[in-house]
Amino acid sequence: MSSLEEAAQRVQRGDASAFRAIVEATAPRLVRLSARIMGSVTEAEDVVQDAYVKAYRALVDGQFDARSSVSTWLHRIVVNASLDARRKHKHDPKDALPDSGASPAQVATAEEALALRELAGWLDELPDDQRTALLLKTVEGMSSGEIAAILGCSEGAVEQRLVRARATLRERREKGPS
Amino acid sequence: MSEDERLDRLARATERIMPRAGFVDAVMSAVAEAEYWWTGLPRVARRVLPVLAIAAVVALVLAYRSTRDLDDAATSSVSSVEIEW
Repeated sequence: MSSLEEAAQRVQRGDASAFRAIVEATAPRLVRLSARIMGSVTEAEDVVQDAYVKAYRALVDGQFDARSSVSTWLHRIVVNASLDARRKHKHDPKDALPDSGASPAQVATAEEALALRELAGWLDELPDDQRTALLLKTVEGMSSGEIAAILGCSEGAVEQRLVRARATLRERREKGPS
Repeated sequence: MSEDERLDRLARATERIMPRAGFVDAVMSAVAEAEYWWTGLPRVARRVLPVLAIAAVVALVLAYRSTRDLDDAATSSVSSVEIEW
């Protein structure tokens, strides 16, 4: 059993402090993933923090059934929360907080903030399922099996989404500069 | 530049992104704020708690009804007393 699974069991038994071990082990990767979806580290931190609160409550309420690993389960929560937040900001752009205006304590450098915005803007026109599959595969470096577990679909469906996403991006590049 | 090359470049440009210092503490504070008072109880106790709460409400209702029945009985027995002259 991995240390994450052990920590999750301790949380389920009422040891709230064990949740810190889960957050410390997963936060860097989850914030980076959310930032790549959202295009902003500031917003990603808010989304991931809310996702952790949801995950904690689910653990305490016994809603985590351990059918998937803790890591996969957390990735699923963060991906869904990030997509929801992104959809909300698209409808209400005044909510968006660009990293360029962030405090000096913000970790993202100007180059990183630019790259995040380029990534989010470039993939913006793809449907959510294709954008997520493409990000998890080519940017996060996950296997199709891992992606299928996170997105709750078959590996075949993941491959199909990747093919469609690449075709859409290639078509756009051939039409003109993005 | 192909799509995969561009994705690879953007992946490398963003691979050192980390949450701000103190992020874990902020998350744990948010978790503590969101905690219910029964969270610290063992899981078995949390499951029994709703049953106990319902049992307590039922007991209160029964106690109220039996007190009322007793009062009614006392009132009716008093009203039915026949006074002989």
